[in-house]
Amino acid sequence: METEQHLLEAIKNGERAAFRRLYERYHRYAIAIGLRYTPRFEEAEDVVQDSFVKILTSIRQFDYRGEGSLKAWVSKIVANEATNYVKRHEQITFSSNIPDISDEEEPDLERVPPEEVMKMIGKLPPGYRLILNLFAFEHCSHKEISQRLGIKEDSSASQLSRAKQLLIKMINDYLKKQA
Amino acid sequence: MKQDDFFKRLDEHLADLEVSSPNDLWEDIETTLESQSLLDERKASHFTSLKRWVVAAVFAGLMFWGGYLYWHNQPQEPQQISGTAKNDLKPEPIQPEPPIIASSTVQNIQSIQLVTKGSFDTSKEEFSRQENSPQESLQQNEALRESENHEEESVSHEGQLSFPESVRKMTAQLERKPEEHRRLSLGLYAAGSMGDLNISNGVLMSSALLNQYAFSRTRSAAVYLAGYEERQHHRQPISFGLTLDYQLNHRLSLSTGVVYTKLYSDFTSIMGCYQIKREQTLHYVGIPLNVNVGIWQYKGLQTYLSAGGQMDFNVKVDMNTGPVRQTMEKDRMQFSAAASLGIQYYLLPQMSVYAEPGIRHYFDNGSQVRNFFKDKPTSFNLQFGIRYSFNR
Repeated sequence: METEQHLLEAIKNGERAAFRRLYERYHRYAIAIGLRYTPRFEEAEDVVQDSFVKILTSIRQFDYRGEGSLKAWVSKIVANEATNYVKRHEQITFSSNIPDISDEEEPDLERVPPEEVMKMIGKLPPGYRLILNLFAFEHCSHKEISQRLGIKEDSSASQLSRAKQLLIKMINDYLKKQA
Repeated sequence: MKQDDFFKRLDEHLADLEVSSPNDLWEDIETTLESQSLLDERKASHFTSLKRWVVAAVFAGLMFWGGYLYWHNQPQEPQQISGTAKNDLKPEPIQPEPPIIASSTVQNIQSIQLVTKGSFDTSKEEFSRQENSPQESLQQNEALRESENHEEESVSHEGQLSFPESVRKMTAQLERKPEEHRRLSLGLYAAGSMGDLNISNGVLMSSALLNQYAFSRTRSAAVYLAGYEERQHHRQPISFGLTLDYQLNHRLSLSTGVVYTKLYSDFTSIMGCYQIKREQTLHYVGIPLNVNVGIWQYKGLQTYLSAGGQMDFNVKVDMNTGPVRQTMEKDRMQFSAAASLGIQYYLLPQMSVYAEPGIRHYFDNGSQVRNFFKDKPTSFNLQFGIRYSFNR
């Protein structure tokens, strides 16, 4: 398999086919990220399309830092585009008054196929889904989330807690059905 | 921590997840890339032509300045005096012209030497050197002819041959060239419009939503979404410029130069309790051309009217939504016309400070870029700066 470094060199040398190879290599991964933010397939495709335009037009500024860094950069751009897309297109409300739901035992997550977990994340309310993505997958702190979304840090933490409870419940329900 | 463990496991569980798309997105991506590259090429050629204009303007300015300095550094007075004498030199023996001697109260040639010693510093050597030469009397008569009236006046009042004041006046007259009023000035200035601009707009419900909510009958009417709003805030434009003024005559002058203008705007979309803020900064480089007409002057204070136009080229755009940088097309060339009243005060003979309150109108350039120029095309502004005159 072609290394990221060789792929980058080909792109920077103006090899047109290398653009296509980059797309072929990472577009499925990008769609999976997009679907975590927005569950509708056509919307995720829009996000991926915009992301690849941005990736390919700014790739000359990318600073290669070893194998895997290109994939991480692609992931970052898709996540940013998806965040912007959700902010623009979905009506999000962040309420600080969240009713408690009963704590459930943490399930054996690995027994659920990743595609199913992704669908469950897609079923979360937009605000919970956005904060869960930023915290769990983009590794943003509550302070960073609050700055990006213009909400209070406490609100971010409480929304995340609620998102986790809902997700655990869905996973447990799935596992019960499978059993 | 238990909670962190859950999210860490979640991240790892989905880390390598890939989902195939039934549609091939590449074709659309490629089309977008091609249209963008065409756009970039257009922008590049536009910028190249701008650079050519700027280089041409700078070159023309340097040529103009160089020519001016060359013209002004040529020695004038001594050549004029001796040159006149030489041109009048005739081969035959030269006789003093009777009318001059008759009208003058000067008794002998020595009186001219007294005059030249008194005030013609530059011509003194010339006269001294040629004291015993054949041209002596011709030069003396030439000088006599030019100073005749002044000498008569002085002698008649004072009865002696010392004319410092009259000769000084004569020297000044000789030094004065027909183009004396042509002066070149360099200026630095800052300018700003008077006040920021805030606009707030409601958000209309789309036709799709109208149908969904069975409001199709009201499709022709505007239905605004409650809790939705868009706010625009344009900070007043700030400009810094370098100007070159060329005085055509005692009242008229032309000025041009280079002006940098910064425009900052932010756009806040409010959706219920959720807000998205976009910040836009536009950087322009402009070339003004103005005509200034002097209207009043008292001692070191001058007032004048100024009118002209300016072409501004958008050279850089910054657009950010939160921490995310976004791409944005540059604005088109912006043309504006302005008129102002200027007040100038000379701190030194060569240096003055000035202020120009005025009005400026920005013409619609047809672009989709939203900025201060579009939302407030006519605005009052204040310009103030400093000027340095080269031959005042």
